Amino acid sequence: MIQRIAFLVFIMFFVGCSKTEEERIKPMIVMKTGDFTIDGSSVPVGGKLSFGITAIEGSAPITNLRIRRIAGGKTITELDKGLYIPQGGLDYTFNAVKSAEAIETWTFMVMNANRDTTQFSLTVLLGEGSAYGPVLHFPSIIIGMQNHSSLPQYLDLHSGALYTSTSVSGHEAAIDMVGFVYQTGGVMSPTLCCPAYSGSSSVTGHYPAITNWVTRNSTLYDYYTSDNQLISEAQFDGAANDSLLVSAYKPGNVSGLCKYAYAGRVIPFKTEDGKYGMIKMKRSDIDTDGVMEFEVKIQP
Amino acid sequence: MRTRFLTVFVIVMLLAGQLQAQIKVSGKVLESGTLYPVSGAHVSLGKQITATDVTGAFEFETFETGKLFLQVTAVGYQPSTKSVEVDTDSKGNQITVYLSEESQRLDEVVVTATRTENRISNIPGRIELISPEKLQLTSNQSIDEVISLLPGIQVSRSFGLFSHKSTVSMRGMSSKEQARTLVLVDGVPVNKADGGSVNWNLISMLDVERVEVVKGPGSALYGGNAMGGVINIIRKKPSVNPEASLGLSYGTYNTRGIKANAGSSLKSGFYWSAGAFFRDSDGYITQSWADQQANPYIVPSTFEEKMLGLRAGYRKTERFEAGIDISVFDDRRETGEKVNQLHGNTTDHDTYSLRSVFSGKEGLWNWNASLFYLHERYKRVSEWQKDDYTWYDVLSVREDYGLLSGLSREFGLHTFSAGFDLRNGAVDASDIYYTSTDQVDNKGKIRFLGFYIQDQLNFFDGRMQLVAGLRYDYSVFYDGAFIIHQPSAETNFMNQYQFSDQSNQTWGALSPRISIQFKPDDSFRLYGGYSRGFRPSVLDDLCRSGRVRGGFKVARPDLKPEFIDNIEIGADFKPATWMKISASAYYSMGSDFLYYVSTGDSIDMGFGNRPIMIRSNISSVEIYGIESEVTFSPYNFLNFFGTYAYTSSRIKKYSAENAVANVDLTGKYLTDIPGHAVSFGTFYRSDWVNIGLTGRFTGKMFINDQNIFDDIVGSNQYPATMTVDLKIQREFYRHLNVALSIQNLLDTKVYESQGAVGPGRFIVVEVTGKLWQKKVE
Repeated sequence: MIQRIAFLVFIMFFVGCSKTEEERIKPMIVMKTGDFTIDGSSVPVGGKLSFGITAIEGSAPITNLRIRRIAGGKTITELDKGLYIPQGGLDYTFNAVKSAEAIETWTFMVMNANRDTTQFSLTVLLGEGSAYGPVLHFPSIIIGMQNHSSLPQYLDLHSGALYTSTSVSGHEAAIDMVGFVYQTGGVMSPTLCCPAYSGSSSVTGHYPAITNWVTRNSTLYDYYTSDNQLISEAQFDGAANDSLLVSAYKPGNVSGLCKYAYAGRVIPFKTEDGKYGMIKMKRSDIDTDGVMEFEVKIQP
Repeated sequence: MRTRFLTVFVIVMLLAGQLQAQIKVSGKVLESGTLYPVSGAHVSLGKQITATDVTGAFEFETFETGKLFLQVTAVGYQPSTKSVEVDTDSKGNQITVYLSEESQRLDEVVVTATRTENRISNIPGRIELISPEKLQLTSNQSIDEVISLLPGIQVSRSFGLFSHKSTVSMRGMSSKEQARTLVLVDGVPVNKADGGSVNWNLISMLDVERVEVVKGPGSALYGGNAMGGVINIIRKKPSVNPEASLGLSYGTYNTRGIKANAGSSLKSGFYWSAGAFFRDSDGYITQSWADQQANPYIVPSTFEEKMLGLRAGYRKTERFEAGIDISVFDDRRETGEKVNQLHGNTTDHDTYSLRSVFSGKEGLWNWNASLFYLHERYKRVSEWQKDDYTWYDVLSVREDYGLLSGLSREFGLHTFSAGFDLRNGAVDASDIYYTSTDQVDNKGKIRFLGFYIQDQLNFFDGRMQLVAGLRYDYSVFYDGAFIIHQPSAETNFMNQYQFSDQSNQTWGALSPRISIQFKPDDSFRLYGGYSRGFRPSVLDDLCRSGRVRGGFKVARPDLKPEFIDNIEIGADFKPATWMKISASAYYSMGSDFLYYVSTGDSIDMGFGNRPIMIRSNISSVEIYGIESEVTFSPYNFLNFFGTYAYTSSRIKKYSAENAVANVDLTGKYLTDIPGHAVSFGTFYRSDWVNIGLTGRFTGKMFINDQNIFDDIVGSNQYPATMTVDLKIQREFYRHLNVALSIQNLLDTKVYESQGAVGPGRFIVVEVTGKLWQKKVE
């Protein structure tokens, strides 16, 4: 008897129900018009491109948005963003600046968790003249590291405004950057970080209050350019319009965390709302109660 | 595959019905004088071996009648041999054996050291045994943790039960790599060809009768992986009489378990047993406090696991025996970070195994053969939120199967053995990204064919023993490929490492062994020997590029095996019948050692730049150490043991092939190997209660290959740790066993991995009821 029961249990263990294959629906993209750049637009070099992307998920959550610029025979991935949007669809605005190439083809690809993809392409032509614009220049900004007792620590890169842990209340949505020091790679690293960055060396480890912010801006720093010192201090000083700000920023190696922000380094960045800028480090302490002093140039 | 399992199982069931009746022989082993039951005694009747339960009871079934020899050995007692008259009426075959204080201790019969049955004292080498008593009275929840009580054994199980991976190593081999220590279950290898790893979670403590550990290279008999040594887990034989048990457990972190076992033998000679367990836990947070502050997605690491095992077989005297077992294991371990997926980051194993063992005796010839098949579907879900969201799955199908065979015969003072083994391994895996377009495929197969010969010579009236053996292994790596589809920034740095349609890679390995022993009497023995071991590259290194601890590694299909040459001396001394002192010293030189070296490039994997590494055969590694053990039993109900091991493992000469980075590791210590290790314990047995108290000190271990400062640990070495475990067990009314186990009694902080937090003090109460068991008077 027991032998039979064991045998039946064995059979039941191995024989399972098979799922019926459901029809898979791919995601779908619709580009916004109106104030946004549309197919066939002519934009002068340095002019602003603004793409409004909406997408619905299909049979599975949207997990990836990829934006590529094809110009002058080169393909540059401007954005390759991981997402998880189970319902309600994607509504995303992407800002960029027109290059000097006569024709740019922009492709927008959305993928869902079934790895089903859909793609939309549009062309932007080079308009006449130049639209490179002025820059805002903040020649000296001083912030405190995470344990500094008096200096403000929260920075709005757009205006250069600084906030303390008290005064930041009500201005969380304006904050683009904080600074801190931590040990990494065997050395103390003065580090720039945006409120949205998470992870083992994240901003919330040093500024726990940010965990509860409703809006946490993402600022992406081009750490590759910084680490390899591809932009000199003299180049930074000579930037009279936003041309260098746009061209210095390479989207391939960017992060919300920028380590080793030592004095003398120039760090290109792009804010959440698509403003390009550069930071020139003037002073970087390696104490958690130390300070950072830097100069900022940013698109207005 | 399921159909194949079922077919084989049904055939065995049908065949069994044709076979003839068996006769039962049962009895009890009691201590002479006190009449205490002796649990865990090793009882053999002819070729059959079993162990007594906590009441001292044992049972056999046989087809033979007439005079047979019953032999009983137990820790702390003199062996006993008596002639037994077996008749067809089972009621008449009940025997009581009285054991006296020992004169020959720890002299069990083992099968692993020579692939033939041999007493430990007759084998010129260091053989360790985890006895049934140790298994019963240690508080460990998994079999690998119990093995760590042996001298020089290092176990890496950072999160206790919550670990998805555990590694057991010895003789100066890194405790992060299982591939250098061969693990067998009933003589059948369970190291997977893909990574050399062993899924220790699927070995149920309940099934294990004893564990044999052979220290030092064992490639002369077993081929690859046996560099540090061989661990053979011997499972309990199915019971002769019908029996069933049900166990329930509850412990820290709401850890709940249930296990059931049943088994019997039929008159036809057919036997069967079935066992199953289920265990789950709410878990705990395994990350450091700093990580918890920094990462809002940290959640407790939990687990759920279940297993079903079935065994069946046929036994007709010692002339022929056949057995088959099938097991299915399924687990899911959540690894402590959850962003969007239902269970967050998880590992999941679905493992199906089929094993069949055949053995027999024809005249003076003994033979055995085993067939095995292991199929594992592994899935790992990885997700995290940094700048944006990243999610990918690793899906891997791993297969290992083969045939092992052996033949032996005595010729006067000689026992000759020979055999051949055929082993195949395969992996077919993909890393599938959902937050980018990448898909990374890797696959490969490897085949080993090995032949061995061995002679055991026993001369000068048993005062000297010599064992000499030689094995040749031939291997081919084929069908290897590493291909990236639609790469994005996540993987495009690996484009240069893609390969497919590669020509077969072959190599051979010759593994000699010779050892000799001088044993003037039962109180002393001295042995010395030389042996060579090797391990092949694992498929994971041959054909997979991907994340590894501390960086990113790229596949390298042209890797050669690594070798180790070992010389060793050792001695056992028994100054009194109740005391034994053992010591061994060894010196090993590793050549073509497989080690990760930097390519000079780095990659940002979402948490800063990490080095890109590649496996290389580096020049020379020097390993030496000593191991010692003292055991004593002032009374038969009380045992003590203490061990100490010193290990030094250093890179003697570093000249990494193809390494771009300007790093010289010459003189650096290998990682994850403690310089000093101590274990100790005591076991107390009585009619009222059984108590086991054990402890282990693990010395400092280097963290990384350059022996440099680690940011997370705050040192270049993990700190030393000391843990103490306790188990108290009592049986009520012969049918109810209650046990309280406390692991890490002192709640010591244990570091075995960067920043990882061990489970701390872990308390489990277990109640086991024997629902149905024939009484043995």
